[in-house]
Amino acid sequence: MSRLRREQIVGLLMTLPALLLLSIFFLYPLFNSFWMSLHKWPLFGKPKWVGLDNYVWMINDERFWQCLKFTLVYTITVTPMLFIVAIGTALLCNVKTWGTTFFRSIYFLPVVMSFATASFVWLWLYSEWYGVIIFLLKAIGFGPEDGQLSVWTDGWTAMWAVNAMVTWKFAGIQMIILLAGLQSIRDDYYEASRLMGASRFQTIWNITLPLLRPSIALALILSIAGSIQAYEQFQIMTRGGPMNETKTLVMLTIGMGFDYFKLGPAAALGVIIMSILFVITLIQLRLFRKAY
Amino acid sequence: MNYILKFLIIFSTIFSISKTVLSEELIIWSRGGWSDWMVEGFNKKMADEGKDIVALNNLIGHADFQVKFTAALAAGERVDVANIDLINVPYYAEIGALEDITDFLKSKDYYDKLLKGMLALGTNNGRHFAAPNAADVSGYVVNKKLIPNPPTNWAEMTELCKQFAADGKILIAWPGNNYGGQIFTVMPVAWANGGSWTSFDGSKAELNHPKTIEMYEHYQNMINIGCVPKNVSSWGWGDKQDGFLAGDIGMIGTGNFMINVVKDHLDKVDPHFMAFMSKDGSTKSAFIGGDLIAIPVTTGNKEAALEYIEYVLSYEGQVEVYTKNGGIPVRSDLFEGNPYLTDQHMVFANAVNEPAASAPFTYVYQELMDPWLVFNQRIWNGEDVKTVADEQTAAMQKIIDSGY
Amino acid sequence: MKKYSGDWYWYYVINSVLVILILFPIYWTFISSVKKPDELITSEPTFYPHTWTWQYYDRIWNYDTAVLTSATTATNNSSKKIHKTTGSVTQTIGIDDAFTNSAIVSVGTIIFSIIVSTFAGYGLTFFRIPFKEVLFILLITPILVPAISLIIPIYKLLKVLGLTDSYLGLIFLHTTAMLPIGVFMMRNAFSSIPNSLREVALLEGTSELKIIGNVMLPLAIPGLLTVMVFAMYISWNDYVLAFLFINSPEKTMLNIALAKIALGGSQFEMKWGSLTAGSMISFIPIIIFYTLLQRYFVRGITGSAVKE
Repeated sequence: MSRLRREQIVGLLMTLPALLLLSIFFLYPLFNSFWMSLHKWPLFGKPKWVGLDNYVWMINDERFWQCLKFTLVYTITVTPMLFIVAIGTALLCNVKTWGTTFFRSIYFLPVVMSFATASFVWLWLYSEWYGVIIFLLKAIGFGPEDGQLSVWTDGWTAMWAVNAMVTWKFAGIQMIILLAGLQSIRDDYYEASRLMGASRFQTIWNITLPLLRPSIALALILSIAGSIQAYEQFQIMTRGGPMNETKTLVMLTIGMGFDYFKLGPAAALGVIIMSILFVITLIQLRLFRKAY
Repeated sequence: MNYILKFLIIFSTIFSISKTVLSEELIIWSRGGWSDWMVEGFNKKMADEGKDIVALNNLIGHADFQVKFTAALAAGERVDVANIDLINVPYYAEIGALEDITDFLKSKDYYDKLLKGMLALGTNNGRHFAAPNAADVSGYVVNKKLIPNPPTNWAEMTELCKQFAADGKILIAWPGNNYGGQIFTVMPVAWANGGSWTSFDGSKAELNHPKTIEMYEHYQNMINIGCVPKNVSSWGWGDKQDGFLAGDIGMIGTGNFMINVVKDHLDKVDPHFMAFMSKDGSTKSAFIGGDLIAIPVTTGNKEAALEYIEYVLSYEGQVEVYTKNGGIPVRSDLFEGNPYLTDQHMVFANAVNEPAASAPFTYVYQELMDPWLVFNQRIWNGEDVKTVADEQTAAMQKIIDSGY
Repeated sequence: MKKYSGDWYWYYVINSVLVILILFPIYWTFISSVKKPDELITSEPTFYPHTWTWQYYDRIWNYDTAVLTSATTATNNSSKKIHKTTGSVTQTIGIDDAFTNSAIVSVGTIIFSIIVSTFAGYGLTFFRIPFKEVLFILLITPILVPAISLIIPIYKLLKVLGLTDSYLGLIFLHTTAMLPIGVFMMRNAFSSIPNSLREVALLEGTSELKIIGNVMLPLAIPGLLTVMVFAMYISWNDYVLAFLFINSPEKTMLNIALAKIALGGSQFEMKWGSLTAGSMISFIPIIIFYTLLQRYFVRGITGSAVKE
């Protein structure tokens, strides 16, 4: 056996565990989900080929559109919130002075907490009877005189309440991404703009942000992808209520599969979500291509 | 090479630490706390008769049962006997998940005394796939400390409502956020009045029956008058029950299990149980709920499983275990002379015989819960009942039509 | 990085305010977990604990476990949490057991991830494998596809493999989710080690495995630590997979057990103390990881672009 051949075999053997895991637990389910979405899968008995029926059925179901609409609204509202906080803290941390590292680690702290735990924490903060945020809001003057102030009875306020939690939780990651980008901007640029007498705002607008484009792109892509897949935050905090106004696409998928045991449509829904993500990511990459 | 070997050894060791079940052990899946006593009684009887059968009770609890059970079925996991919420049974029977026990049941002399409504839900194409096991019957419980004269018709209820509202007190509350709770304790009032949830065979959604609309308008009216909390659409089951037991709520819809629960709260509550009623009070109704007992097709020992069912349906099982702990027997021949059935129990037991009392038949209960809950919440939030009823009925019909 | 040339105090004021805002929920959770019930369940919350108690930690840590009960011990077995008012029975698990379960899966994920990523990264760096780049890209793709879209096929797959309701099943899934980051990191780590180091060792006759163990790994420790940190992060914080694929009460993961406490019972029921205590318990291991290994979190996200 030639030396090259031996090297190839050993090399492949080394990557084998990873490839095995990938094939079994990722590639196979991936193809299987396409396959399943084209069948009707009864709990007992043989699956039946139905072609695109599951997709047609799903698209004709109001529940799908309701969840899609909400998922998009949520994405559109939470992304700017995240971004603004992230860029603000990134700019703040982009200075070489005592305490910067400390501040940076604090801003990143909520990221490491699990999503579920963060949801519980904020559920407590928002508790209608005993939550401190409600208490503070009432102290400022919100809320009806007699009754309880609850953020969960209206779909709109419920969404913003959850947005606050998500911003708190994830701005840190975005901050780090943006910070990395900020730190790669050479000082000469700042030097030049200072010499030209530009105000801080003008500097940020004309120099920093454009040069930051790749990082912004990355941060946005991750953020939007995550929002479209939202599940835990709403499942725990609102359960999709009130009246399914805060139900996300993923919640519908899981419900379809695990509560109603309609596996074909659930798989179809999964493929639809994947496609949506794919398209949106493509669009974003297109838009940001100019950055390069 | 030895890396792969080590991996395989570790893998197979962990793998084989999974549960292994001895074949003489019967695996029972239950929902209610009394099941432990039932299984204990059964094991004792088996030991006394010298039979080598031991049952193991797996208490899943109400919340997750349906999902876990279906997942277990789909995975082919061995379950010998399952106590299933009766409203889910038509689905399981229809998809062929349960063993046919028609001959076994028909051979029993109490066969025609089994509660018909419950038995019907376990029947598919004339064959029986589940038997009644434990009955949960619903009705009102009134706190006579707050309401010395319980209402006998809707007009009296509305009068009481005005009085309570004037005093700033809560007359009645219900779990607006809980779909199961509302079908158990709110819908039967509509049944008494003549309405229905679905048609008898489950093929039509019938929420927009005029009599149902009438009843919902009655309840909605009470919210408007002010004797019902304005945010009742977000109340849970525990909220209304805790409120009642604390003496803050005049009456609530509940079930026969309440008879035992309220015993600890007699300082605040003087309980009076009564059935749900129609507008003029002449027709009564209840939700005949509870569990059916069935043998899943994944069983490992059908004969032993049948022994267990026989025990459950016997005098000992139904009276000495179940009724003694507060339940209503599922055999009407055990109502008479039952030492444990108090007058309070009889209110529920008698409600079972009311023609309007029933449980809806449907193959897609889980999915229907969604539009059903929305139906309730929209009405409690003040929308026009007829509009909501028409829209939600259409939504339900769409789900029924697309099958399970 | 710019050297700060503005007004010092503005910088500190803004940052301090932000720090207070960010830390407030965590602070609040902590003090809520130690306040006595009277002080906790009130419509006028206090901003520092006037009373102190460990009862919630005590209570949830030692919830009795409800498992398969043998009927003969049923009468003595008061191990089910019977909801006092509704009479319904729920199977709950002690937080200590849930904690252990999550720990088992997390540690398993860490170990598997390290092994798999190291070998794959090493192979991809030092060997001329056919379609090397293609394989590498393939290993990165899971990051683009949401696991949620695949839960149904994954569920069927686990059922076929007999891995439903098992630690191993979750470990495999978490490790697969770790592949993109793990392989990427380890390949990076190994790439920066000169090939000559390996050549010399090979010439001297050392086996490949020995090379990895004695030479490469010590040099790749930052990469390893990053893999470890992310494996812990992904595994410990997972909710969806743990929720869907673990059914037995005795195997419930920490996040799910806490969710049961949070979502069970009525709003009047005093679960908040238990919930905040549970949240703190869940948070502590990851905080420890974070404090010690912060830079590796950051490194993992940016590929070591941020200066410390």
